[in-house]
Amino acid sequence: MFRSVLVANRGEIAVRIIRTLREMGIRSVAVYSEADRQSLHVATADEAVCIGKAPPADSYLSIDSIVAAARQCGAEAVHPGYGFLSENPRFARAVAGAGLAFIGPPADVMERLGDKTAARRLMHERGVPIIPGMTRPSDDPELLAAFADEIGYPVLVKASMGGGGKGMRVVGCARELREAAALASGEAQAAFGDGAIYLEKYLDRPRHIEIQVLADALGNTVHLFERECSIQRRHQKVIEETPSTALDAGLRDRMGRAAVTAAKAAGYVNAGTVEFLLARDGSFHFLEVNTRLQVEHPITEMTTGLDLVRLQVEIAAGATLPFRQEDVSTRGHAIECRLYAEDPGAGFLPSPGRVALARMPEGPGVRLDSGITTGSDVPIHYDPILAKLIVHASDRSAAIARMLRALEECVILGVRTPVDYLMDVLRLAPFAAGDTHTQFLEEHMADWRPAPPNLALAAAGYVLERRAMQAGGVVGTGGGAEGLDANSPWRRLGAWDLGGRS
Amino acid sequence: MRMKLRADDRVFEVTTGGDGANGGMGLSIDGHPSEVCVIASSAGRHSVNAGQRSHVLYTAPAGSGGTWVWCEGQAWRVSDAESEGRSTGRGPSGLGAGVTPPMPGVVVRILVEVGQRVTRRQALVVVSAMKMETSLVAAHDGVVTGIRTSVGTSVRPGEILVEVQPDEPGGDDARR
Repeated sequence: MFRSVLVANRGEIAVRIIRTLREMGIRSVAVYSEADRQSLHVATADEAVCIGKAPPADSYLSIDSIVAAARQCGAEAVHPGYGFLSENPRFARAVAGAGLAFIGPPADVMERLGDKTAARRLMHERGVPIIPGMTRPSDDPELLAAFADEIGYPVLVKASMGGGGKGMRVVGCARELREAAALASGEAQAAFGDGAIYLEKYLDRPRHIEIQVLADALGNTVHLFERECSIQRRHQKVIEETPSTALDAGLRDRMGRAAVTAAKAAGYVNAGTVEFLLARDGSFHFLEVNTRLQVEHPITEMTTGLDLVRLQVEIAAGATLPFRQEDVSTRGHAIECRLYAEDPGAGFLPSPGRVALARMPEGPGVRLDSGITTGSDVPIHYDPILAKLIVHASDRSAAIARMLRALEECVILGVRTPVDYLMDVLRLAPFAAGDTHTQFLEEHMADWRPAPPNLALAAAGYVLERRAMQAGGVVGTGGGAEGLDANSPWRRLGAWDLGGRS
Repeated sequence: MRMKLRADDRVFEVTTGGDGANGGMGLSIDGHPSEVCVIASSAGRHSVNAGQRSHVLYTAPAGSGGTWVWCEGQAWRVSDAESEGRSTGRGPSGLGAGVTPPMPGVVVRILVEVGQRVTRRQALVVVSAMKMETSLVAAHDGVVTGIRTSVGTSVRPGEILVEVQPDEPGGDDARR
């Protein structure tokens, strides 16, 4: 086993990986940019190396700096986390080239799966169902039109090298196609440096169902069941859960087998995720393979009882999978909510800044993977994810109730978070009914506004905080034996002295 | 005493004075009587009773004299509405003569030049924060009179990035 592993990431995912390394007795090395010197992942690791300036291109995306840091501190392996360089084959190759183990799939597997149309061709050949559509990109309007006619409108125009919804457009009829294709291609060119596009059949309100797979270098491949990630906003997952309400045992088995077939077709090694769209008629279609750990991996960990990061490290060190498919089972229901620094009351604008207070939820069945603490800076340069809140309970309705309770306990002040928005999503009747799909938030939450403040409590909080600051910090607590009169703020807090008396 | 507070976008008048019927803070919110009893208060955590219900409030300083107040999943920024400017509400703010970012960020593109005519809602500058780009637009028709930033600069709310001289309302153009 490795003695030392470098974590090429930041924030909550770096902290999460470091925790497992500690449990495994492996020395952890964090890397950080100048903006992250004081951050939690740096404080959590055994050792930390500064790799450059705040902009990602100068630090967390700098392959040379990270490989040099790994060499400098004697790390034997590199865990990329997710985002940044995690799906970059050049990085995987550079790490391997430096004689270090890359904790993830080999570079050629990433390349094979990174090209969306090539991946679709590969899966189609191996009998994994794909969404009806083109298996080669094209920008020829005639060819696109002929193809759209063949599969029938509406169609989806997608960027071949795309992701995150960029360069993606729904086209309802033939006369809209030419312009939509040109716009999508332009967007793809700007975002990915490659304007190649292709067409797919547009599925109405599908579910996003993904299957966690795990493969060792000897070719043993298993799946760890599904995660439903249909609750998305602008193609970003917001709430994930497992099991999905849409899968029965038969469908679960068929999708699991398809995911294992997909992983084997690509020669997959380590942890990966095969994403599918589940249509309303019950048919499922291959979307793509994410060649890394997913943000939502904890819900699988909660229901299977496995530590995916530990398994990733063991596989990268050459270990055989410690179980077979028939040994894996799940218990209960798990839900994850992503806590971003964003303001749902102002169009989900990013909300960087300093965390004035962070008090995290506790209690039965609650897990928090956080990258912040009171006093943390949330820089403007990086992804806005602050923490992931995960709950596990015996069944789905208990899990929803537990998540609502945990969100209510989740105090983050100083930056805006979507806690109130998430609670309102979880309280929706269609969510409780399990009637989720990828347009769910557009359909049910488009007109959402934050509840108006409770003015009496807002005023009381303001007064109490101001008073505490004037008293130099701590206000006396009321003793249990004190009567109501003794609790009167007029007695205990003195006068309400706010910028002068009236 | 009376004060005018702002909780997020809501401005309201608070009058305090005397004990409430249950011995708590007697409050009047926009003229409506209310009472909050403090059970315990320590280090930013406050256990209170209001309207027959108990609540836990968490508070923290919010800068410029404001206070963050958290209650059961909701966070409010509360400040003295009279001593603070208009720009502390939620979301984009329209400062008359120029554009300022709604959140801290880095300037990634400047789309106009000094002397250029712009129309209301025309994008003037693009700011990036946390991998999201936001276009800042002109609040009115007018002429760009100054560009006070450059690409790659870190900027904060309140800083004017582009100055726009608004067209005279009721001037010749408007009448025609």
